[in-house]
Amino acid sequence: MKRIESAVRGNSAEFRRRYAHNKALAAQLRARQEAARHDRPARDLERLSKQGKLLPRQRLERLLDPGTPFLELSSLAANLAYAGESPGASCLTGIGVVSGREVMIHADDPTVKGGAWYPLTIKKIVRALDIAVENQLPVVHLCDSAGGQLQLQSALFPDRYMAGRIFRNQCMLSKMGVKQLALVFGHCTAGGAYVPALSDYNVIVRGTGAVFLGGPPLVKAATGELVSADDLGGADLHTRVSGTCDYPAADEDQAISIGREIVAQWERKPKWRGPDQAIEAPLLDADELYGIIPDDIKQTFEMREVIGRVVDGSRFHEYKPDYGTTLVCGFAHLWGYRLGILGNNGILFNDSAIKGAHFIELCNQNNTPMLFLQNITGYMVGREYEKAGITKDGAKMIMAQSCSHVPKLTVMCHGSFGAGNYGMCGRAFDGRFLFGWPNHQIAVMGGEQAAGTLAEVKLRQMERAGMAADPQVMRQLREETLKAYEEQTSAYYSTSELWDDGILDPVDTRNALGVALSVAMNVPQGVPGNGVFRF
Amino acid sequence: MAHRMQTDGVDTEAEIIARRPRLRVRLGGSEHVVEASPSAGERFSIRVDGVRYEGWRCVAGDDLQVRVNGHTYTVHFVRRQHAAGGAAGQEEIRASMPGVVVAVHAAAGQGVRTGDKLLTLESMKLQMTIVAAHEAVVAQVHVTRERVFERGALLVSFARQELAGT
Amino acid sequence: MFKRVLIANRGEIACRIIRTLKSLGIASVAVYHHEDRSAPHVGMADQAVLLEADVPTAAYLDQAQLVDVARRTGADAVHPGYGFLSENADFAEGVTTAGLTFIGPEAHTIRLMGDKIRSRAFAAEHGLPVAPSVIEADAARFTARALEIGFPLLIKAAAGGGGKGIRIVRRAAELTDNLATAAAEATRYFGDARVYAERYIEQPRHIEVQIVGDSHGDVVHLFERECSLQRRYQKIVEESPAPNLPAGVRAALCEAAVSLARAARYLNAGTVEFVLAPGGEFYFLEMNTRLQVEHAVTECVLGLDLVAEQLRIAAGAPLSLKQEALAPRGHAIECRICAEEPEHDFRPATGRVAVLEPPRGPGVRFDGGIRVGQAITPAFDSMLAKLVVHGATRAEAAGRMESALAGLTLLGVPTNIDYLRRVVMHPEFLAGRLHTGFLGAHAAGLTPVAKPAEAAAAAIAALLTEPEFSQVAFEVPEPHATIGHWRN
Repeated sequence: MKRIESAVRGNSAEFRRRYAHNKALAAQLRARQEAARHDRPARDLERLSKQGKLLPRQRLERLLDPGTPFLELSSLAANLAYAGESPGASCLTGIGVVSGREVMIHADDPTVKGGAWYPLTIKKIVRALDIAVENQLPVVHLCDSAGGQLQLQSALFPDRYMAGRIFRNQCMLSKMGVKQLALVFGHCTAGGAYVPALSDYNVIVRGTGAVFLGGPPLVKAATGELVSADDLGGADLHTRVSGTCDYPAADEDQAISIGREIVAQWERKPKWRGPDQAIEAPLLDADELYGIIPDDIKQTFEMREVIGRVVDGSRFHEYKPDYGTTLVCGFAHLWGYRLGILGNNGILFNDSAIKGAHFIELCNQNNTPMLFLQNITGYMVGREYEKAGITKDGAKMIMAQSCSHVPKLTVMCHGSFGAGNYGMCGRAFDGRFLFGWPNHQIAVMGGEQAAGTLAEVKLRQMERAGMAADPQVMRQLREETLKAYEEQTSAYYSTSELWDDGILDPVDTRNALGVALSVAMNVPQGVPGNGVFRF
Repeated sequence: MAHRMQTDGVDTEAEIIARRPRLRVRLGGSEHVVEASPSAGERFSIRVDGVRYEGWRCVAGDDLQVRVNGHTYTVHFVRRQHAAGGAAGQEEIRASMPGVVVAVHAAAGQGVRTGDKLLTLESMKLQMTIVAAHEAVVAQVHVTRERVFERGALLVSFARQELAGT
Repeated sequence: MFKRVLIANRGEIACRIIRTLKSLGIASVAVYHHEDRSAPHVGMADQAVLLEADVPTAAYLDQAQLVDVARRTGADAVHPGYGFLSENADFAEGVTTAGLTFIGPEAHTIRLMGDKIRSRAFAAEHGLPVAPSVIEADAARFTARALEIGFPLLIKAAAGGGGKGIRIVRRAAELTDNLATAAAEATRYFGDARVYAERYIEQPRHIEVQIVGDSHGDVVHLFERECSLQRRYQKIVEESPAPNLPAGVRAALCEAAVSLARAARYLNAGTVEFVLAPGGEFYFLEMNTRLQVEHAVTECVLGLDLVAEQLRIAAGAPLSLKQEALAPRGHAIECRICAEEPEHDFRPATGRVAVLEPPRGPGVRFDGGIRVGQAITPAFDSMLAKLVVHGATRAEAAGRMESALAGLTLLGVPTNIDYLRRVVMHPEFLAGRLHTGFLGAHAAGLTPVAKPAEAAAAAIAALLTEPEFSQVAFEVPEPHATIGHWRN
């Protein structure tokens, strides 16, 4: 397989400008992550320390096999919600290795309002468990939560993908034979009590761990009974009398140690398809990605330069290199796994859409997982293209992509606008994982285009009403539209709302995709087959 | 997740730092590059920091003995007590079924070690010996010889103490 | 010659005797206690009989049962080995009374030499130097006798045991004061005012002479053995010849031993023990009426089989050895391999033999009595095996011992192997400057030297056997193993 030859000139003014811009974006990402992970009121930290509790990340580090990666998911979830009250959406999720086994980890964060669940907390946990279901990935729950935020109950309780979904997913996992372990470090109150109860295995820490449907305050309110948390749902009660918990632990370290032993007993299921060849590091330097990614959303860039900095040995077997050139398609290996890649190198035309649909079919016929590298402003519009059937050609690509049985991964590298998002496996298309870079933007169209379109529509309305266009109103409309788009198209807004699985520093892309792909290769997505293609 | 251990009485901590391209292990304050295959056999041949070491290793009581270059090192792993398969931190023993006390082997204030007999009970025509599941000090024996007890009755309680191996 | 010999012993010496019996075509009968059922001597013997006893050592001390087993199995002789009943006159008598041959001296000889006071008196009577001593309550008489003995003088309460209240008096002027204190102490602690004094020998050596006598009155000596290296009053390193021993002293020692044996009309193999002062003067200590643990060094330098010689003598044959023809060739060293912890005051250790790889090489002899899987319990002596080397010179022998100890792998129970290796590499040992206080005096130089790289390798070799560690080291799947520690 040929190596990608880079055309990047590291000393060009453009490279240096872009490098500085994107490096700063990465630094900003790190700073925001650092704050979301560690900025906590001192009194909350003191309270935990007094209780002999470890912080969620300390628990995580002790649980994981030393010297192994941890792919944290949606580290900045809720970063623009609840006035910043719920950093990381008050929980921690991600994929790591415990006792040699890949597992999903879900950890409550008792440093934020006692670990209480916000609506986005639930969305994040459900997403983690969806990943576990789709990828048949065992789960370790690190429980320490006061329960749902009662003030926000309407946004976290009643609907299909709200709190109940956590427990429904737990049941589905168990039914599928995908193991779950809960380590009860703190309280598991109300619905949260079902997390250990629905786990195949659980461990409870004596003294601090407690599981109950109603905590002491609720019991007092309901029946007037005065009872301590430990007597109501502590380790001794649940491991000796009720049987709700399996193993008592003297402290958190011991709970983790028992947990590691339990995971070590779990069967190792074979992957759907194993790696195809030995791992080879890319030849090209990932650091140069900072100088490749544009510093302006309207500018495009050579996606092959990105592929060459992500895949094994920077080797790429390009498919139909001279046809439909705005969509780069080809095969490569990622951490030893054969992979089909579709990357945007411009707007999607009829030929690039048809090429894409065909390539997706090739990947499915060959059981090859796919990676979508998005930088897309959409499918081409205009009379000429409609005449040529751009809509039905785009539909073919969407149909092929949607019906794929091979695992799909998506990285939003820059722009993700309009129907291009659909064709390129946007969030709605059940890709196994979807990440964004800090510079990326997502919207139905660009802010400028939206402002223009809305102005056009407004103008027509006014014309129909026989009114003259008020330049003041038109200007205001334009500015409001631009402002809303600017805010809501940003990567931070996107990740805050869990439209993705997290923002990646571009240099981390290869590692993140490695963990994601390894997990995705556990199982195919349903059975092969397609719907009706419109020819 | 570090392994606490003693080599010839010297405390140290071992942790895996990396696996590729070679296994790297931190022992106390120093890092070592290890070339070894996964084998727990008595005969071993490993390379540490480029130097080959061949020798023998085996279990000797609670310790491991490793003989290398004509010297036998004694390695002790500080293991955490596990609740799994034991009852670490147990503060009392209760009757799992009704029965009668045949003999009392321990007294209040007595230090007991894992496996030490505490009580002999008879229940459902079966005699059973209750032994200490871990090292502890008996706070009180709540029954006497020939005493009949019900299921769940408190038999022995232990003094609260720090658990070993934390 | 005998047709069948019962070995009333176990362990290394039982195995060693069976080997000679085999080489002479004599059938062997082993005895064992239940706890020893898997011990090597049981498997090596032509026949093995279980002894009934609750306490393991009691089995090997049960005279009636042993004689009965010997009778029942048709043995015509009994070899007692060393330890257990080897110096028990009643047993020797019992065996003889049963019409069997006891391979060792006659019962009356055993009885005589087994009594410390009578044996000393006997030795003194026959012109052997005996360390002068006095036990006396009267101060004047004590002082007079003490001055005769000379200085330095060791004095202590006569009734006191062990090393309690020992004082060393170096000048006559200090005698009166020390005597008064010792007498006061003796009265206060033991209610017995008698004070004991003997010549104090600084840095004494422990030298013994091997003799053999036949039933025809012939006695030869098989030269001396140096047995000065002791811990807890037990030998751990022995050699022959004794290093730095003036020829005249050697001759005098051997001559004294032979004259004692002749006087006692000594039958079979025996050892006369002496304490040797730095100045060359020596004193009779005691006589051991049996085969010694350390007999192998004599066998090496003289190229003979002492057990075979014992059997021939017991069978009534005249000595096959002529004194004039005997000349030690080269140098032999023995190390006693014991289950013990030298770093914890040599306390005995227990365990289960997991690995046993005897050393190989020219001039190396390994007399073992253990096998892999065997439990090492406190029931028996802590000695597991003997390692004996023979070289052209003492330096060569010491070098061979050092590499043999390095090459000996005995795991599953703590042993003194590495300690012995440090002993035989110690410059003072190599210089042959030995005395009974050697191990204590050089304790600091006998501690292990830290080798950080090697210790790290050992720790890692141990870690690799830990399932928790090796699982984490080797069972992390790709790509995680290659990615390594990474956080996004």
